[in-house]
Amino acid sequence: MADERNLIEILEENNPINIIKYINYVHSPQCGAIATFSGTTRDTFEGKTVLELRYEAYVPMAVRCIKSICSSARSSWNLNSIAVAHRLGPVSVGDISVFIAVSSVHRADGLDACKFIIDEVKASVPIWKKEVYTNGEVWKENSEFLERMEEPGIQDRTRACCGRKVKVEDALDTKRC
Amino acid sequence: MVWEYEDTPRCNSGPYPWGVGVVSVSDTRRTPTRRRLERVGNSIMDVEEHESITENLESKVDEKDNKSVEIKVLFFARARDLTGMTDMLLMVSTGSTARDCLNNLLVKFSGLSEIRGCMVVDLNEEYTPENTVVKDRDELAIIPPISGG
Repeated sequence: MADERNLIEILEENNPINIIKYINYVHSPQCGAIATFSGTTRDTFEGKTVLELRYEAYVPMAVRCIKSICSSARSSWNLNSIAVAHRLGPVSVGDISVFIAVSSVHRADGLDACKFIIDEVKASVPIWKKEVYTNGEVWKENSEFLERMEEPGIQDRTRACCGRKVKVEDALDTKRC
Repeated sequence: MVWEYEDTPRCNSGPYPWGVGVVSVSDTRRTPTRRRLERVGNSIMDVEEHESITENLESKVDEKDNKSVEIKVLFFARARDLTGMTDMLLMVSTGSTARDCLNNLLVKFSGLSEIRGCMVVDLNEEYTPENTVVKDRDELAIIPPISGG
């Protein structure tokens, strides 16, 4: 079995994602396919104008989680190389906040693995984003995480979730993780 | 600055204590045949050397009252907003669980009740059930609902 090649990067703020770097990393003459996913900042949410997203992370654990996700992907699909990059700090509208590249001999493996990886990132990796509007900001909560929490055996909790979002009026948060 | 991991073994903690730069370590899933360092930023350090130094320092354990343990609590995102803190040290009775620690924190920071029902806890960088017993120098992270991606 060939050595596994995974590149995981958590980029500090003001470091844009260079997708060519990751595509080049996974590229291999053995592979017939490179599947990619780019997560980009949308300009509106429920009618509200989004100015930017601000990301923070529990970095060491985030990296471990992503590594685990890569291992899981490899156990399900025949993959060559995987690259996952996630930005921290402010990400403006239209910019890429998360990028995934997967190379595989056949496209089905890469495409399916790519979807799996982003779904798992949104369900389990300790990264948070605050959505900043013109009139306030909100910590977002991924439905994938909330749904996973409700699965039996994941946590020994009996209470229901407290709600989908918590609104913070005004841009009061100046603390950095 | 970039944190970059290329099939890296577990690194002790982050951000790296030396503050800046990136260490890229080659695949060590099998017996490592080589290590390499890359300068991306202003610093280079061999990860193994750092881990060795860290272990030597950590071996000098101060004697504590064996009836209590001290853990480090990390607050992220909404939890940090509610407590006003990024981290703190917490002393609890020996045998306390993560849930006991949370209850302790809820007394100190009543605002945490807003997310009590939908947060999870990590112990030493792994998701953990709340009935897990914490040990001295454990790191307990309060994880509000995540929103990466």
